[in-house]
This record gives sequence, C-alpha cells and structure tokens, in this order.
Amino acid sequence: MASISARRLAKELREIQGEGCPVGISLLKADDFATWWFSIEVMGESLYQNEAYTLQFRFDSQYPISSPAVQFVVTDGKQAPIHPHVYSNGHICASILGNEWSPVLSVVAVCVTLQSMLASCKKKERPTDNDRYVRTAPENPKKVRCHLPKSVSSANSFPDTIPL
Amino acid sequence: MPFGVSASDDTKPANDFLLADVPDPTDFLPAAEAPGLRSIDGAFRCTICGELFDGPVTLPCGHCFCSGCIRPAMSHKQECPICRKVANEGHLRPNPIVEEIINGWKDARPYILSLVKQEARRKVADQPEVHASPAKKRKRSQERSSSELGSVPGLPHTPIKPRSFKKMSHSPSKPNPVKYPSDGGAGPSRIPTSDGDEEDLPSTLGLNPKSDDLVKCPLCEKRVRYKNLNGHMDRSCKDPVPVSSSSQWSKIMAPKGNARGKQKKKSSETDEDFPLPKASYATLKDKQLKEMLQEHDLPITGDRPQWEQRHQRWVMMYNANLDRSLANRKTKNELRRDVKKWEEEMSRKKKPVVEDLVKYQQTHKPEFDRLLKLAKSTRDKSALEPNAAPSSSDDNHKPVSTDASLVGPPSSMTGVDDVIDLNSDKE
Repeated sequence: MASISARRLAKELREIQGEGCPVGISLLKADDFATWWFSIEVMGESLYQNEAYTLQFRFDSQYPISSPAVQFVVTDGKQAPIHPHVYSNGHICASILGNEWSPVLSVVAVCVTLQSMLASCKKKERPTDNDRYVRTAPENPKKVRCHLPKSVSSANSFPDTIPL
Repeated sequence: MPFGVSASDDTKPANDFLLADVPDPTDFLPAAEAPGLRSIDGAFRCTICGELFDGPVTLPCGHCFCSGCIRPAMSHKQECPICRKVANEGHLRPNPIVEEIINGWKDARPYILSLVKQEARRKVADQPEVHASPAKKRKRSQERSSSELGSVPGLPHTPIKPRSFKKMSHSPSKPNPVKYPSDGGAGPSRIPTSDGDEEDLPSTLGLNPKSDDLVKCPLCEKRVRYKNLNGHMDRSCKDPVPVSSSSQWSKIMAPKGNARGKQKKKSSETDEDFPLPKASYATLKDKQLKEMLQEHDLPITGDRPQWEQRHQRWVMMYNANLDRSLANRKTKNELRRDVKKWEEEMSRKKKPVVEDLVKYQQTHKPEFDRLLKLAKSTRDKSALEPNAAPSSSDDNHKPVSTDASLVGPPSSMTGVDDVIDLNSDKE
C-alpha cells in the first residue's frame, strides 16, 4: 500500500486531471509525489492582469497532516509577483501555509487562495523587510516559523520570534 | 523536506502512479449522468485521507473523520480541520452508524460500478450513432419497465427484448461483487483472518453474537465473552486471573502518569477497551520507555527518538483501533505490523546518511566552493549590518569538511536544495 500522503496526492492529481483546475490555474508539472508546479494567473481586473506566475509545491511524507511548502518559482527567468506578502525569493506570507493549515485543504484550494490574495491586492509593493528576510531566510519556507497576515515589522528580530 | 538527494522510491514517473488504482468519487459518472452516485461516494470519504471512513469518529461540531486521521491532525492543532472549532482527542466519539453505512457501501460500490459499466456498454451497443445523454437514459429506464405495455415512440421496439435478456444473463454476477481484500463483508465474518492461527471461527459465524455473549474460543474451546475473544486469543488463550473489584478500582483511581510502574503489569492484560494514555516522554527514563514498549510487545531496536515515535504511533493506532466497531477491529498483531510498516515507510523517506565523507566532499566540491563563496560574500555584508541573524555568520566560520557546515545557509542558494536537505530532519 502506498503511503497515505502518496494516495492522497494521487487522488488530488486524478481530480485535477479529470475535472480540470479552476480558471487561471493550471498544472505545469507533477512528475512525482515530491514537487508539483502550477501556473497561476489572476483573472479579471487586477494589478496582475495578464501576468502568469509559477507556484511550487513540495510535499513531505506527513502531508496532508503537515502543510506543503509553497512558494513562487524565481529561477529560470521566472519572477515572484510584487505583493506585500510575497518576498522576492518567492516565499509567501500566508497564514494557511503556516499555522492556519488544515489537512482538509488541498493543492487546488491553496492555489485558489493565493490567486485571490493577488486579486485583492491594492498596491504592488514588496514586504517592508524584504531585503533582510531574503538574506536570512532558509531555503525551505516551511522552516520559517513566522507566517504573518501582515508583513513583519522591522522591530522583530527575524526569524526567531513569532509575533502575534 | 523535498526528497532531494536520492531520487527515492517515491519519485516514480508520473505515468506509474497515475495508473495506480486509487479509488475515488470520479470512478462514478458526474451527476448529470448518474445522479447522486458521485456525491454519495464523496460524502463517505474522510476529507483528510480521501479514503472511505475507517473507524469514523465525530467531533462536537458534527464533522466526521477517520479516527486514524484526526488523531495525528489534532496533535498538530486542536481544532476541527473543516470548521476550525476547538476540539481535542477527548471529544472524539465513534460513529457506528457511519461505519455500518461504509461497510455496506464497500460491498455495494464495486457492484454498482459494474452495473454502471454494463449500462454504458449496453447503451453503446444499442445506439452507437446517438450520443448518450441523461434525458435519453431516463427515457430508456422508463421504457424498460413499460416495455411489456407498449412501445415508446421514437425508439425501435425490437431491440428491447434482447436487451433485457442480456441484462438477465448478467445478473448471476450480482451476488459476488468484487471484494476488496481489506473489506470485511458482513459483520462477524470479519474476525481477524490474517493471523494464521485465528483463521477459522466455527459455528458462531452466522449468529452475530453480541459483545457480552459467551462464545467458544476456537483454539482452546473455553467459553469466552465475544468482546474479549480477540484479546483472549492474542494472549494465546491464557486469560488473566480475575481481578478483584478493589484492585480494579485502585487501577482506575490511580493517577495515570506516575503510577506506571504499578500499572504496567496489568494494563496489557486487562480491559481491552480502554484507550492508552499518552506519555510525556520528556519525563521518562530510557528504561521506563523500553518497558513501556515491551509491555506491548513492541521492539526496542533503534535509538530513543525512534522509541518515542514508535510508542506514540502505537498509542495513536491502538486508540484509533478502539474507535472501530468490534467486527472491524484489528488484532494487536495486525496493529504491530502496521506500526512496523509505518516505521519502514518513514525510514525510507529519510535522507541518506553520508558515509564516505572524503568521497562526498570530492563529488560535491564545486557546490561547496560556490556555497563558500556565497557565504563569504553575505558574511561581509552581515558584518556591516549589526541586526543580521547571528546564525548565518556563525555558519560561515565552520570549515566545509562535513555536511553540518551547511546548516541554515542564506536563502540565495536556492539551487542547492539537495545539499541543504541532508540536515533537514535534524531540525
């Protein structure tokens, strides 16, 4: 028997391939149960019109109990969207990817959430502490213990504290 | 976190795992063509694992999960994963009705699927030129029932008879739908079959004994209460000497944590139906922990973290097993095997250990050099900035002789996941 995480991912993949993804989201790559890539685009009027971004999901053996590591791809000429909750290294500051993760969420649900995060953006800007974060952040966004709904203020010594 | 360095056994090519048989609601046609079936199959599934409920438990908010799914989820966060209402393991209540429904559905599912397939084949055979549509289908079923009374306009009358004949010829397949190996079928016949010596339970099978009924043990022929039968056989028919009521009380009243020493001899032998308490491993000495494992006949191989994980997993699986109805319950031996399987799976996913350091350094030299260069450049910068995280500068001082020097590198090295991951399970 395949492990629970593999079975669950197989089910999600099957649904994606059978039913398709929501508008603006498409599966780019799912060669294994470790890393999946999605293309995500904001539909309708928004600051990110006609811009497609690539999202990377990485799963560990504890999925779906533990959250996937989700970030925008910033290699191969790809860029992370300029957004107050998205760092220039592709890391995303979203509660559902950190301590608000729930095992009933799925890959597609995360995509939709991030899509709406972009769609509701009022002003294109980087988080205020972007430079410092990018310099000190670990490669895997899950190892950053700080996922805030708002960008971190410079008073906090990042990434050791968990404000809020 | 990513499986990184070694393309492990899990990283199979896409086609392989797409072919893997993972039953899910999309096995059924969408609602337009087969109303209700897909949503029924979806509703019978745990939203965490996506499988049909196994030992379903209900939370105070009413949401239902497999016991074995919600328990580990709750060790992460004490809330309902669906509505986020606060809840803990003490709130879990087994849901025997849902379990019964699932038992029935496990039998019905393959049967219904085969019927649906037959129907589709029949449709194709009948009218290859007309595209199947839901409206047609309904007409047809009406037509079938009314076929004796007269013909339906627009459809040729003749094919009806052969069709219903074909239908009949398929019906013998009805009583033996494909059974899953795991699926128990009807109640009592589900009594553990995988432990060779427990295989044939005689006479009691069809009688559907209640949990308090006395039944004959198939091994020693002693009369045992049905609910205790599994445990009785697990102990190879050596039943514990009946415990006096006072000692039972003292066992119940005794504080769970610190009275371990006194409890341990009895707890594995008495009440099968009591959930195991969770242990606070930090307060336990190695010896105590070993004893706790041995108490449940669990191996004491590996190191302390492995013991803790093993015991934790055992407690979780044991308690989840109690949430299954008696007929669906696994034996302790089966549970032990499950724990073993789980451990093997975990260890397979661990990153490989670097054995030949020198060789490892040689093969990865270009990467190390690049990292060193990068680290040095960030170090120069961080020296200028007082509030930079100390960890990054510390790491730069270490020599690159072991992989340990790569802990917590600056994020700019996204290209070298593999090397960093060697350490990821140490965090």
